[in-house]
This record gives sequence, C-alpha cells and structure tokens, in this order.
Amino acid sequence: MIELLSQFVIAADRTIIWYFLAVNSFYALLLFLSVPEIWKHWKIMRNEDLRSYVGSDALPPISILIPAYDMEASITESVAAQLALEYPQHEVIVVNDGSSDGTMERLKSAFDLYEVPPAFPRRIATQPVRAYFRSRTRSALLVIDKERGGKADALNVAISSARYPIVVPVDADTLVARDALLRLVRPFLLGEHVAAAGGTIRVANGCRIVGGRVTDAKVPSRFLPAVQVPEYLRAFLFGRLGWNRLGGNLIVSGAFGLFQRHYLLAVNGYRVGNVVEDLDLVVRLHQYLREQKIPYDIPFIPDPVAWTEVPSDLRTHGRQRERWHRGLIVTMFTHRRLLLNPKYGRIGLITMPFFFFGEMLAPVIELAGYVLTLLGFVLGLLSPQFALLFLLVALGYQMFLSIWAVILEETTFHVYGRFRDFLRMLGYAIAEPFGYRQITVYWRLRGFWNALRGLTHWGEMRRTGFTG
Amino acid sequence: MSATLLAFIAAGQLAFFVAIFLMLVVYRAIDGRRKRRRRHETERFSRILMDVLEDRLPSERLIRVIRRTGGTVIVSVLHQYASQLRGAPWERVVDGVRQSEWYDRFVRSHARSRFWWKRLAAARLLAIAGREEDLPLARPLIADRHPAIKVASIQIVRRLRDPSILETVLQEAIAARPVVRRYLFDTVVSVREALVPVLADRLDRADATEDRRALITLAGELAAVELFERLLGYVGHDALEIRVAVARALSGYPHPRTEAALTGLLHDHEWQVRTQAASSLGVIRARNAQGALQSALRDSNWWVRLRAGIALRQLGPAGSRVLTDVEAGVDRFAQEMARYVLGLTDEAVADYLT
Amino acid sequence: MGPDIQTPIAYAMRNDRTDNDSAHREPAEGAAVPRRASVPAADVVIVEGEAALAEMLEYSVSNAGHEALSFRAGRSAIDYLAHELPAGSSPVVLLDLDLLGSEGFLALKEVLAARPGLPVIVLSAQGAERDQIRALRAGAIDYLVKPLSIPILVAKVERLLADRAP
Repeated sequence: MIELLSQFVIAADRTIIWYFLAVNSFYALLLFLSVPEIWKHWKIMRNEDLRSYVGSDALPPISILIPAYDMEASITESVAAQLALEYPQHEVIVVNDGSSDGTMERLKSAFDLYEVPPAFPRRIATQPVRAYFRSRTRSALLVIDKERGGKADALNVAISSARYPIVVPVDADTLVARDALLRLVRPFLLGEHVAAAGGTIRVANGCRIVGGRVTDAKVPSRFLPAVQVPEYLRAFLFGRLGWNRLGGNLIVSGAFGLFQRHYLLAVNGYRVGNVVEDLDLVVRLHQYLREQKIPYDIPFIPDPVAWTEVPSDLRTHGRQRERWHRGLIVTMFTHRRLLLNPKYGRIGLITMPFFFFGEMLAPVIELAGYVLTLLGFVLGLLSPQFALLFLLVALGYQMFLSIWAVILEETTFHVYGRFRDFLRMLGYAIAEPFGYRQITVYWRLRGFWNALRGLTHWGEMRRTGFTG
Repeated sequence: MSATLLAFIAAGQLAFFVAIFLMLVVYRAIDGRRKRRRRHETERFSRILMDVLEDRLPSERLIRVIRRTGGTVIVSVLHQYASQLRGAPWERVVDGVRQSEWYDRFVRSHARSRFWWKRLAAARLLAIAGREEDLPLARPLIADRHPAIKVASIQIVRRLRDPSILETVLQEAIAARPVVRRYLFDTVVSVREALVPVLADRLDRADATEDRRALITLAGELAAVELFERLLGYVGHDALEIRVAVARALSGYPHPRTEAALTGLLHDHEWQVRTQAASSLGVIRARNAQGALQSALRDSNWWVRLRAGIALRQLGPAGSRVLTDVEAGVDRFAQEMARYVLGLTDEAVADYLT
Repeated sequence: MGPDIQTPIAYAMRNDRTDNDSAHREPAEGAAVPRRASVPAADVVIVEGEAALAEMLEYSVSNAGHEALSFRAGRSAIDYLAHELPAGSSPVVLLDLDLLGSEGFLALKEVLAARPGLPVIVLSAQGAERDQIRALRAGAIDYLVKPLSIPILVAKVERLLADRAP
C-alpha cells in the first residue's frame, strides 16, 4: 500500500517536473527568439533615413480611444498628454462612461467643450449616449458622454465614432511616451500586414512623472511593486517579443495597443461582460482573420512606450491577478474551438495550447507539485535531492529567466540608467520565487475556482433559460 | 535522480548566471570603449571635412582620414552634412570621398551583401554620394525585398534621376503596402520633372487595376497639368477603386471639366465614389456645385453627407448659407449633419481637410 | 472653342481684334489687347501658353472671388503689363517665360522696369539654379519649375492676393 503510494507520488512528481521543464524551456525559447527581434528593431530605430520617414505624411492617421470612469483627478492631464503626442495626424476620443464624480465637468472646463448634434455613425450596439462634445480650443478632441456600460462598452462607442482607420485604445491612467505612436506604427513602415500591434507596458511606480510623462525611470523602493518589474520584463516584454517569431501575439494590452478599425468592426468590437476584454478581442480577431483567410500579423513592439501604475498593496494586486486568471479561463473556454485546431494555424497549434496548458493550468499543477513534494518528503517517499530538483526546475528555472530578462533589458533598452537600479532588479528577480510567486499562485487558484463556479453558474442559467 | 545530477544542474545554473554577469561587465567595458573611439573618429572626420569644405585643406586630406576611419562613422558624418549642404560645395566633398579606395570597396561589398544591415548602409551611402556609375548597384537596392532598404534607398532618386531608376521606383511603389507606397510616392514627387514623363508612360501601359489605381493616386499628388487628360479618361471606369482614385486625384486639378466630372461622380452608385467626389469638390472650391452638394447632404450614406457638409464649408459664405437653409429644412439626417458642420470651429474643419 | 469658364473681361478682350500690329507679331490664336485706358483692373494676370493650365488658374481665381485676365501669347501680354496696366492696380502676375522664347528674361525685366514692385510669379520649364536666381534677382517674387504642382501654385497666388487685400 505504501509501495503504491510511493510509486504514485514519485511518478506524479516526476510528471510535474517534466511539465515545468517543458513550460520553462518554452519560455526560454521565447527569450531566445526575442534577441533577433530586438536586433531588427534596434537597427531600424537607429537609422536616420528611417527616422525622417517616421515623421512623414505617409503614416496612417490614428484615433486614440480613452475610456474614462471616475477619473476626475487625472483626466485633464492625461487627455492633454494624449493630444500632445508626436504624430503627424491623430485625434483623441474620450468616453465618459457614466462617471459618478466630476470627470465630465473637468473636461468641459479644461477644454472649452461645446455640444454637437449626434451626427456620428453607430456601428456597434452600446449603452445610450447622452451627448457628443467637441472642443473650441483643441480641434482634435471629441468627448462622448454616455450611460455606464463598462470599459468594453465605452470603447465600442469610441470605435464607432472614430474618424480614422487606425485606433489606439489607451487606459486613462496610462502614461504614454511622446513618440509612442511613431514607434507603434513601425510595422506599417516595414510593409507588414498589420491587423493589430501591441505596445510595451512598464512599471511606473517609483518613476519621476512630470506633466503626464515619465521623465526618469527608477525601480520602486517598496517590495510589491518592485518585484513586478522583473516579472513584467520577463513575461510582458521579452516573452511577448518571442511570440513575434512564433506566430503572433494573443495579447495586445488594453492599456496601450493598436488595431485596424475595420477589423474591430468586423468582429463587433469588444465583448461586454468579459473581464479581460483585450484578450478576448485579440483571440476573436485571430479567429476572424484566419477564417477569412486574410494575411495578417499581430506584432509586439518592444520599445518602451507606455507606463502604468501596478498595484502596490496586496489586496488590489490580488484582485488584479485573480481577474486576469479568471478572464483567461473564461476566454479559453469560450474559444475552445481554436485549441489544437490546425485550421487556425500557429495560433491553434502553438499559442492557444501554450496558454491553455502552460499558463492556465500552471497554478493548479504548481499547487499539486508543492503538495506532493511536501507530502512525499515528509512521508519519506521522496529523497531531499528529489525535492530540491523539483524546486530548481519549477522555481529556479523561472528565476533564471527573470535574471536573463533583466540583463537583456540592461543591454538593450537600458531604460533604467542607474547601475543601482540594475542591481536591485537582479535582487528582486532572485527574490521573486521566494514568496511572491506563491502569492500569485494563490490568487490565480482563486481565479480558477471563481471561473469554474461562474461557468457552471452560467451553464445553469442557460438551462433554466430554456426551460423557464 | 541522483545527487550528482542535481549538483550538476545546480552548478550549471550557477555557472551560467555568473558567466552572464561577467559577460555583462565585460560588455559594458567594451561598449564604452567602442563608443569613445567612435566619438573620437567622428570628431576628427567632421573637423577635416569642414576644413576641406572651407578650402583650408586640400581634398587629399579627406582621402587620408577616410582610410583611418570606420565605415559607419564616415557614412553617418556624411549623412549629417548632406542634409545641410547641396550643390557645388557638396559635390566637391563627394568627389573627394569617391576618389578614396574605401568608397568602391565599401559600396561593392555592402551593396551585394547577404546581410540586410550592410545593404542598408550601402543604400544610405549611395543616397548621399551616388553618381551615375553607381546606377547598376542602385537599382537592385531599390528593388530589395527588405522594406527598410527599399525605403532608405529611395533617397537615391534625388541624386540619380535616371528614367530607369524612376521606373524601378514606380514598380516597387505599386507593389508595396499602403504606408510604404505613400512614402515612396512622397519622395519621388520631389523629382517631378523627371518623374512626370515616366509616370505618364507607365500609366498608359498599366493593365492591372491595382497598378492603375496606385499610379492614378500618384498622378493626383503630382498635380501636373501634363497628366490631366489621362486622368479625365478614367472617370467612367468600371472599377470602383479606379473611380475613387480618380475622384481624389482630380482634386489637384481645379478646372471646369473637373467640376463637371466630379458632379457626375456625385451620383455614382457606390458611396465611396460619392464621398470622394464631394470631398474633391470642396478642395477645388467648386462654387457651381453648390446645388449638387446640397442634394448630397441628403444622401443615404453618412460619409457622403459628412464630406458634402465639409465641402460646403469650404465654399465660403455661400456654402454656409446653404448649410443654414438645410438646417432649417425637413430631412432629419441632412439637418443633423448641417448643424454639426456649421458648429465646427475653423480648426476642426481644417482637420477634416488633410 | 475657348475655355468653358471665362471672366467677362477676359472674354471681351480675347475676342476684340482692334490691334492690327499684334496680328503681325503673334500666332493666329493670339489674344489682342484693346487700347482702352478704362479697362477695369484684374486681380490676376495669367500669361500662359498651355491652355489647360491657364484655364485651371482662371477657374481657381474666379472661385476665390477674384477677376482673372488671361493671355495666350507673350508679346501682347508684355505690352499690356508694361504699358497698359491701370495706374493703381497691382495684380498678381503669372508669367510663363517660355512663351517668349529666348527673350523671356528680357521681357520680365521690361515689365518690372515699367512697374517695379509688381508681384510676378515666373513659370518655366528651365529649372537651372542660375535661371532661378537670375529671375529672382531681377525682381520676380517666385519661380516655379514645370511640371509644377497646381495646388501649390494656386495656394501661392491666393496668398499673394490675401497679402494685397486692403
């Protein structure tokens, strides 16, 4: 009996170790592939001829979409910063999503708004719009006041009203670099079939911010935001860059990304009610474009372009991670048709499976790993070496990848100028698996649990809907 | 899973980590030194270049310093000065540079290199110092499959206005994606004297709709009277894209015949054509088209109504009067659009005109 | 057979053949200039041989609410500008140097000698830098090389008209 248990524990643990080996090696592959991508962007960024190209009239005009809810403290500064972006031709559309505070009043007074008739197309069904406003002082601004409907709903109104063929949704609290748009449209300059493009999000905590822009990048001093810096570098920067070479990105950050407007309209915009509306949108885009056999690319642009405040207290952080994971599961479930489906090319055969097995199931498997290893060790079924091996492969490998990401950042973009910041990032990369990682596992498990409950709940509702 | 394997893995990870750390320190040192040397070379080269330009030194000195300077430095300094100088003084510098052995070696080895960044460097050099002898190397660079090189080498046409090069450029532009094509067109428009006859000929020979559409767009941007008749010939074309392109192109040709053609296109059965026709009528300030634009305000398509409204704004007080009348009229959608357009500030209207 | 749109003055002048002298000096379809001192001033005088270009300029100018006077032959145009321009008027002049062949530059000088300060935009297929410099030094306000961009030319004319407005 003990024999059987022992065999089971060893076998299970071994499988789990192989799992982590596979997943982390895949991540290592992504980091590997990010290097030629950076090289390509680097060479192009520094070429002066191309720089003159960059400011020219050849660039497609852009509509910036800003959904805003209860942002009276920062909305004027944020909108002013977006209007001041360096770009030959762009407009800014702000959607006040039924704010309960003084957001609308701030906008009216800061930009001398006047109401215009609702002479705008309405291509996607949304909550009712109360009024449209233009500004007497800033001709590129359009403000839409509507009933509350959520971020996805607000973005859908903005998409309908956008004048230009390219839209860039931006979160109201994201700090966008002045030349961000110029960098974001680089794939167009290279003649790629761009359906969407992802921008890089970096950690704004601890940085010096003047006039809605980051002027001096620093690693934050408190633990929680600081440990997210190497995490963002590993997962959201170099990791996503690697996907450029592997078939396309599944995530275009909602905080800052670029889309072709007509494709968004074709998939009927963002899905209201999905907590990770950006992930859901991109998956639907992939699906639509592949089904229509339209050649396309969804690249990720590595230049530092946008900064956002990451949660600095455990509660907000927990809510955010729980929401992300819950949304991931719901989206995976909704689009399960793409999984391992050769009809959807690399998205179906590589990207979706990785997100399903490597990201979605990861916290569960990690929990199983901890439990089994601890159990086995305590019961004397596993040798201490085995336990150590598990830790090395599951945690150490990832720490190693984080260190690698920090070094890559230091040698390429070098956004953090001070050597002290580099050392601190290294330190936090090393500290990451000793506590922080486990916390995120806990939150993700909560997300898993809530997602399963929500899905069955939804399933029940459907059933009653039919019979009731 | 033996202890040795474990120790091996652990040691491996540690060694890797240490190695990367050391590599980083070494890299920073090397990089720093490399940057310093580059800066020194750039300063020295710039200084001698200035001296030669101002006749303080003979141009042979230039050749001597080129021998001792790195290729990238030479190209970037030359590029910097090329944007500030033109005509005879610059050509003297170019003479000097071309006489050095470095030039031939660099151009020949880089222009045909397997590596795209080397071809890019060659394209840059030819764009600032190219001469007729370099035509055979320039052509394949413009037709290069790497878009960055295509874009950098297009600047070569500013120096070498040979019809065959322009042909290649047009060919590439037609086949390129929209943004790249626009950039190529924008650059090539700057050599309009050489371009117009080549374009006219190419337009006559075009058979594919997409080719023709791109060429018509370019003809519109050139707005050269020599191309007018040809454009008018396409007004009644079957393909939607061609009619849209012509409607847009004609906005560069304010003429009674243009006005007649556009007014006709305002009744086209495709909304894209009607939209563009309304837009162009505004650009040429067609006073006689007021009536047609007024009816276009009642069009079933939103975009047509918008462009008709903006066009009426461009007709000055007479157009604004029409808008005011419509605002007081019965058609709800026309009313809304008229009110919207009337309420726009001048800057907002100007935004619609780019 | 003429252009579809004509300003009243241009039409009247084009069809008036009171000047026998000019019949000798210019080709059959040349425009003649009546020697009437009370000719109302035009805002823009167009001296351009290419029919389509001249028509486009007339069209734009008239849409902008100004009067245009058009010449298809060079000599009569120069005579008008140098000797018959009403005293107080200072129209914007578009002068195609090639219309006068090798004497183009001399004609320009003749006009500017008679009416210094007259805003003359020179149009020419000769784009050599020294030709441009020569014309500008002689007093031309601008020099556009053909084939030229019509919208740019129109914009320059309108700018000069706006500058001039009382």
